[in-house]
Amino acid sequence: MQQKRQQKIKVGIFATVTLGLLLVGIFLIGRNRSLFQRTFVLYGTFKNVGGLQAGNNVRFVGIDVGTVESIDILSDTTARVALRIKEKVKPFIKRGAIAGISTDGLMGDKLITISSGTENGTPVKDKDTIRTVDPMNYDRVLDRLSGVAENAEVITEQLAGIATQINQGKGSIGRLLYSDSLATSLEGTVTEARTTVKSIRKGSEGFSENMEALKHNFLLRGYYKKKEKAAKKEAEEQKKAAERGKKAGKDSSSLKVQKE
Amino acid sequence: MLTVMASALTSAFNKYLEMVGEQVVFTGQFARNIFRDGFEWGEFLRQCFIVGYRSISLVAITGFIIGFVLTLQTQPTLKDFGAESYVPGMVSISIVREIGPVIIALICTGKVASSIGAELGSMKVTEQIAAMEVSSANPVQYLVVTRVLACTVMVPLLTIMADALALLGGWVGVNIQDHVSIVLFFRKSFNALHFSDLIPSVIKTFFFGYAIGFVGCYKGYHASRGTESVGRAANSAVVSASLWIILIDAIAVQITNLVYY
Repeated sequence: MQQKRQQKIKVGIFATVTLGLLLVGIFLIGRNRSLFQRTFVLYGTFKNVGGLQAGNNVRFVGIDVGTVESIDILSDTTARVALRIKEKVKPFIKRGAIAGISTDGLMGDKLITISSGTENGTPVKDKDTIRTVDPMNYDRVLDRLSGVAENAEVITEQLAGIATQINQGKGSIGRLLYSDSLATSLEGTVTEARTTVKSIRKGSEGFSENMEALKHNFLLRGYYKKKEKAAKKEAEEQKKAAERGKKAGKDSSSLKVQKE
Repeated sequence: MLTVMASALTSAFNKYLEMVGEQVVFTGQFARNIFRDGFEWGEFLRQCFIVGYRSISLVAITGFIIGFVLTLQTQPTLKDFGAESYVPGMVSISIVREIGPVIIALICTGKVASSIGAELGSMKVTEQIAAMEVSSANPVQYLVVTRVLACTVMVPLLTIMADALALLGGWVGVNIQDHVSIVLFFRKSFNALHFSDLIPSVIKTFFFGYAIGFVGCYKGYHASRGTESVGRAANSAVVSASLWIILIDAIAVQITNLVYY
């Protein structure tokens, strides 16, 4: 009898523990689905949900705060997404909040991100509809990119044409690069310029000699002497002005001058 | 020649039909005796002790090692893809949905179905069952109902325990090379799980348990006379119960997909 009682107790303990584990598991899964918490619902309408599914996460300031409850088609261009969000975060989500669809990680799980709007509005209420941003439409991006590619094709074609023309020595750049006559004529020009410079130098030497001779000529000597005197006078006046300036200066500076 | 083959085929077919008929009758007897007055609670609890409590260590070690090995096997592959953070989710989903229930059911088949088959087979051979019938005790109610129900209740509990220990084993496996806190590991594991993973797999373990108990009892109860038939009963109980578990699993997958997806 005693043994039977012990067996019963052992079976009881085993059953309690395992059922407890099951309950913990159910609770942990349910907590992720916000089953055992007070929640509220927000709506957002999108033109394109981009593969979002019921059960995807909802993030607010980077924290998982709820899940996508359902997605319904309202019309041929709009789908309404119902978000089940924890009651705790309700005061932080304002009326101006914006919901967008983004991708989580490399594996491409979709999720809703709620970002706070610019205005400091009142907190949202249950069953409010918040503003949304449609996800980037890859088809449109690809359309644009194809336009860019076409342009690039035209540009590269033209560049190729220019390059062949240059290679063939056509046009001014081509001639510059490939024409020998241009180079030889340039060389000729340079040697000519050199001889010209030499003759100019000779001419200027002769000219200064002539000028020296003119200074000694009695007709013009008076003019040059007058010029010399004026230059001397100016120099003296400058000297005097400098001395006056030094005297007016501070003692320290005058001492420095004396030492020097 | 042809007639010999034809007669062999018909006799095999008749044997098969006979077996199916016997099983149906046996199921009917079992079902009738569940609700009959005088349910053997004491014997039921004793069987729960034998089936459930005595299997704890075996199932616990198995579960722990399954999780441990599965993690070690998947981690390098997922690491190559840079998706190491998916290890807990992958381990938890594969264990809870499939590996845990099936492996534990097969382990229990080896331990429980064989012992039930051998026990009832030897009782049949030593004519204890016949003696019970003569003394107006109800052998089906006392021997079969208690064992089948004990298996049906205990195998799911053992599976839940094994699942939990397998996740623990997975955590230990991750921590051999890296360091992941147990909270993070379990949070990631349960983030990946849905009710559609847990509930169907718990429900199917009840059927696994029923199959183990029922096949064990049927094979033992219908053992033919002779000592070697005890061994044959134990052996065929294990084989057919394993087959049944795999079949039930295949059907359960279809039903789960039909209901949830």
